[in-house]
Amino acid sequence: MAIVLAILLLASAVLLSWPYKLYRNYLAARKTGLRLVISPLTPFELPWHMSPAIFGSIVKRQRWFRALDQTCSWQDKSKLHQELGLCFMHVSPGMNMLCTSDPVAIDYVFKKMKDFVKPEVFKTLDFFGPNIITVNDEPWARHRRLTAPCFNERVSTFVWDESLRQAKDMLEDWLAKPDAKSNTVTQDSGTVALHVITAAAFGEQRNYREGVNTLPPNHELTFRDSLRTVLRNPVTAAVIGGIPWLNNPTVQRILSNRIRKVLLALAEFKTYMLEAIARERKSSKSTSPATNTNKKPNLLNALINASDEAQSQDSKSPTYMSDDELTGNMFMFAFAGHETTATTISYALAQLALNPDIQDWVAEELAEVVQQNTESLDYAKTHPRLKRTLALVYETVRLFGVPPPWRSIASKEPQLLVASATEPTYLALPPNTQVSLNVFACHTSPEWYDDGEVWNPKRWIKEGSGMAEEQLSVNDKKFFGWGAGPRVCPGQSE
Amino acid sequence: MKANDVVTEFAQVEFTAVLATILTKYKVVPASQDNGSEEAASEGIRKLVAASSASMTVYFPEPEKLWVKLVKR
Repeated sequence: MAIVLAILLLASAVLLSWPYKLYRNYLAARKTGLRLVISPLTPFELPWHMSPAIFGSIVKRQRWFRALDQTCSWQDKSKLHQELGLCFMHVSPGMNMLCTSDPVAIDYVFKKMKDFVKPEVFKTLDFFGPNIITVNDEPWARHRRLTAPCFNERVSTFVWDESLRQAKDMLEDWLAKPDAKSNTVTQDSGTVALHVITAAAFGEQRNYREGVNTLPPNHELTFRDSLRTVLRNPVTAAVIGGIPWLNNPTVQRILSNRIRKVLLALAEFKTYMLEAIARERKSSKSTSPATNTNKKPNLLNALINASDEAQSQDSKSPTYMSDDELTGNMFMFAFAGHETTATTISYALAQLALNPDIQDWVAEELAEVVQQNTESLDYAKTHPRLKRTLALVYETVRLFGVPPPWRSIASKEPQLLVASATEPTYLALPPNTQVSLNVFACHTSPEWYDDGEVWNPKRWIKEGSGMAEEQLSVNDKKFFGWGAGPRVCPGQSE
Repeated sequence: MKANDVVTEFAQVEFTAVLATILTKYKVVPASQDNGSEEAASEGIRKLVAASSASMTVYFPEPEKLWVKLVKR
């Protein structure tokens, strides 16, 4: 009886505190002067994730849900922000969320890494150890120093050659099908992307036709299966990854199949990584520097060398990376290199199929630069001249490639965020506020992009007197592709 | 060079290489499983794109429904 009473008391306390908390957040949010969207549920907590399953499409019609649900906000593009402004407040019992599609605000948050730290939810990418996406502040700067020099011209050349090699086989396989008709675009570009990433990141070169299903000895899952299982279940992986006793065989018997599979995938990915690290350590020790230059460059090798070198000079060197950190960074590369590239390629092909005029426009450039010869294309001579082809990349990433709303916790005291209607101004944020950056809305807003919802690669090209004089013009102030802040690529930006 | 530029550069190089390989000699044309008209196939692709989901990345919930055909240029 006492237990029932206790539960009842607890339940009523929760129920009563709910309107109080919502009201308190409402009062705080009102001070910003922004439009408000009131939500009965706190974003991204368990009831939030479960609500569509319980209440079905009713929830999906609510503005408070659409504003922050990944799929809904992608589908809505800039609609909600057209109605409520570049910035509005999402008020719920658990927190206030500033939703913004303002490019000045997005840029500001990306640049102020220390004031807008990544929220706990990014720990979901942390299950293999910290990496440059998940870590904050100081470690972030350290990881950046280590990973940035790794991607040099040699690796680019290798990625280029390997991509051509894989794509050539993929193309031949498609042509060999009846009517040259194929419905495996997404799957096959996934194979290409996976092979390119394993070659460039871990030094394991494979042939396209080997497929991705060869199971090496001592493994229960293929590398791709373990990677994909983790990627498709990030929340589960993050939760169970931190509970070591789940690997106990007795405990395993009572777990659901899905959880068992995620557990296995986590363990397998880790084993693959440790194997690759051991292999690279061995090969960089056994080969003399002279033969090492002929070796195919890869990111893991570069990371290990940079890290070991730093440690040999100073055993407490902050740039040293533990195996955990190496694994974490490799997971990030595998994630970024596999999932995002594969989906971007399939969206580009879908859009190209719908836009024959754009295909002719790109083919014009390819005819001039590639001259019907895809066998021996030199990276340094070819890649910089493929501006229209690169415009396809930018345009596809603008509409399909950016991550859905990205939440950052404004740290400590009320933060100031630069917002702009006509000129930049500072906006005081109430305490307990998070920030959701709606990059999709920004990328489709008519204020920054003419016909923003239309896929048109030509918008990235500044015309010259001839095709060779054309320039790829990327405006950093309104483009946030690839999930990070503005970037400057040599020779590509204004 | 920023940390994410590693990923960006990688993706751009790979993507450009793959598309250059396909588009130099071939056209990508909408197709469908039942060999219907090209207009119907285009409409199918448009619907498929609009029905995309997002979780970490934007993706096709049913990728095997995307049919394309290659035609020599």
